[in-house]
Amino acid sequence: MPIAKGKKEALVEYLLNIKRQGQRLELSLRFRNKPSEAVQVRKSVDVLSDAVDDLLGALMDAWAGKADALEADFRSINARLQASIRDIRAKIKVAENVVKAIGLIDEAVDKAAALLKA
Amino acid sequence: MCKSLPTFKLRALSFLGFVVLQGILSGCPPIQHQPFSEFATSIQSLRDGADEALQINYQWSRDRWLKKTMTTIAGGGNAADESVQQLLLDGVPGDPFGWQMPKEPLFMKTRRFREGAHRLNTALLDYANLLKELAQPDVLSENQFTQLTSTLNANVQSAATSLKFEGMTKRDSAMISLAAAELFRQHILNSQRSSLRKAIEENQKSIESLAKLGVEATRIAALHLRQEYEYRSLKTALKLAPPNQPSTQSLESLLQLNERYIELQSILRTLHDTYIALPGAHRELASAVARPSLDLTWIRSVYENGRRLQRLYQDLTEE
Repeated sequence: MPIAKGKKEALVEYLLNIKRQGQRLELSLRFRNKPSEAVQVRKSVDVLSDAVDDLLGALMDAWAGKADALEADFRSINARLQASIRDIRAKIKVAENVVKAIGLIDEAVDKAAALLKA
Repeated sequence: MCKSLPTFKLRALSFLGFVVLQGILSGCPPIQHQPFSEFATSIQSLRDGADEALQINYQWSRDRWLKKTMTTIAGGGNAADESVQQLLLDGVPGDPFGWQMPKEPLFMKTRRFREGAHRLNTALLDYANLLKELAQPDVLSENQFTQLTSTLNANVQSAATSLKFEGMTKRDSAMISLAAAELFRQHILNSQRSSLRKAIEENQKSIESLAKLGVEATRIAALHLRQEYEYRSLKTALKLAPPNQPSTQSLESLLQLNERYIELQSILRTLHDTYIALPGAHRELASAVARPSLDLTWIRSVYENGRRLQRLYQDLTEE
């Protein structure tokens, strides 16, 4: 089942890659004792991180909308399945009732026979 | 009212013949229950695995937001004002129960996303359990069948006595009762089989849509997990860089974080693969109804993924 990657998803991946490069740069600057440059890089990374958060939030919102509609579909599918199960159980009940009914007819025949003898 | 014995036996034999013919025509071996059971078990693991992984995304996201917001507030000024303003909920015009935020933080969206995934997976699990119930081999249990046959037998004997079928032996009545009950069992099996086949065929498209959404959800979750991991890993890595004093403890923390991240991504990958295999496994359920001896590769794959997921998130919760 091939599933195409969405544009937003691809963009998030791209931004995450750049952000990671920025983080690596910040770390290297710290090791080279260049704290002010590291802070500058951190600020840019934070902007990227906020953009990633926004995009992830938008992806989640869009997904949740689609999931709600599909969940409603499954509720109705499950209701139909429950009806099928009830139907089969009802068939079993009918057979049991037929057997009981035969028993009742026997009783009636016995009573009728007794009345005829009397 | 009294009928002759040969007529009675002839009718009984015709009846038995009909039952045998019905059995041959329908050619119904019992429905293979195991694939349905394995399918439902896998979906249970799928839901639990998704819950676990998305819960961690939510916790890490909330934690990151708290730290970031506290740093901003501590800095004071306009940025602090803006951060605190964003925490105040507003009402929604025309909706007395509604609420809104000027800018909803990611962790709140993550929670909604997790709840949506849980609801959808629960609907899928309900569906799998209903299929399993419908495929029950004991839809008419052996006990029910014996009970039905013996009650029927008692009634037939009683009827024979009442109607003065003196020539009918106990064996005759037992055979008639057994045949009638078997005929009924075949009828139930046929209903069960056709309901199952119909349900599986009609719902294949919905399963495909759900699998597609599931794959999408796991990809979003994997990207989100990476976002959270990158924040945490940098924070830990910076403890090893100047002006901090590097320590074994910081190094150990970074290693542990990496191990946890790899495990979580592994759960998400297994979830992803399970959703990919879902339509094939569902299609195979229909084959399991029609041809019990079929090799069920997709169901086996989904089931194995389910077991793997269970192991993975058990490891994770034990840590």
